Amino acid sequence: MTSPDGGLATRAPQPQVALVDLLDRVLAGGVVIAGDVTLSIADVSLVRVSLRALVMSVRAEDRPDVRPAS
Amino acid sequence: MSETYLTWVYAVARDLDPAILVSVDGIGGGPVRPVADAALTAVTGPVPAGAFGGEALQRRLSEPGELEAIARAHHGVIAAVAAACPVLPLRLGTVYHDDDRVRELLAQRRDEFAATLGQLADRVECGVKVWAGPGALAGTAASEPAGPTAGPGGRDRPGAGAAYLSRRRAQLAARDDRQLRAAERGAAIHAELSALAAAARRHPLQDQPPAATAGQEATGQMVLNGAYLVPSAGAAQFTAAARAVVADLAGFRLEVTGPWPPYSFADGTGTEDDQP
Repeated sequence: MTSPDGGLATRAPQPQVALVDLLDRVLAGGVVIAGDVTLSIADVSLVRVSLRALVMSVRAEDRPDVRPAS
Repeated sequence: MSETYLTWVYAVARDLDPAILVSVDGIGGGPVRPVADAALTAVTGPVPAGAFGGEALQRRLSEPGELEAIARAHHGVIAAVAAACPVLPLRLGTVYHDDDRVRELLAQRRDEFAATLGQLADRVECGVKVWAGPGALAGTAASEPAGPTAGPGGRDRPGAGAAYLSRRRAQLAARDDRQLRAAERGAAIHAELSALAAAARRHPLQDQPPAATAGQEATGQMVLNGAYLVPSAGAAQFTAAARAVVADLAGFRLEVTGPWPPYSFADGTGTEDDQP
């Protein structure tokens, strides 16, 4: 994650998927198709907001709960 | 006791070898199955209707632990497919009644899917986040008042109220300046990175960690949360170039994530931003 170092652009790449980056993509990216089961986009947005709060608290504790990107 | 299942759709792929799906776990550890229509294959999996139908799905996605598990499983499948062939990720939560409905979808939108897959083939998405460190967005000394200047007893001085208001106005103006400079820097860096990529998108800036609101010097202020579509073989080169762009800027820090499946380019390589 984003450990507070002064390295400024010199750190090694992070070979891990952070939840917050994943949610940027799976909740806002991807092809939007109206499936048979309808999800309210508004509710998903709320999920995103509440989850972000959780992500940030987790991030603050620096929990290494992430896994490789691919 | 036959339970009813719905069909979760992870992605649409081209030239997929269905054999690679055998060893991939879907949501809840369930199987991942191909639903093919000519050269296109929908990557799907059965999910229990009781747990993933309508309100149940909504409820599930509202629970952070469940959402995380589903998001990671959804991504795990898409990443496994992306490693093997061109893939078009679907938005999380695309669920059909059965495989026949998925076949209808493929037939209806075949041309559109094929065109987008053509644009995404042999390309990956790199994420770039940039933060401004302390002072990186500061203006001139005149526009950045250094805290309270009234000395002891200042309150009793005639005109202390006016001085306070003036100081407060300057503080607010400095903050506005900083936001403006953050936006300008973000846009400028995004433009430079976009020139290195086949397509580019901006995601909304991520919130500051709560712990950081009191100490932004630790994390800095995010000025860019971008996604860049680059050749699969060129991800390392793009990463190095991105680092070079930001290394030239004193006080800025960047993090590159990925390579990701092309989530942010599921609408193709048009250049419109996610955010204005």
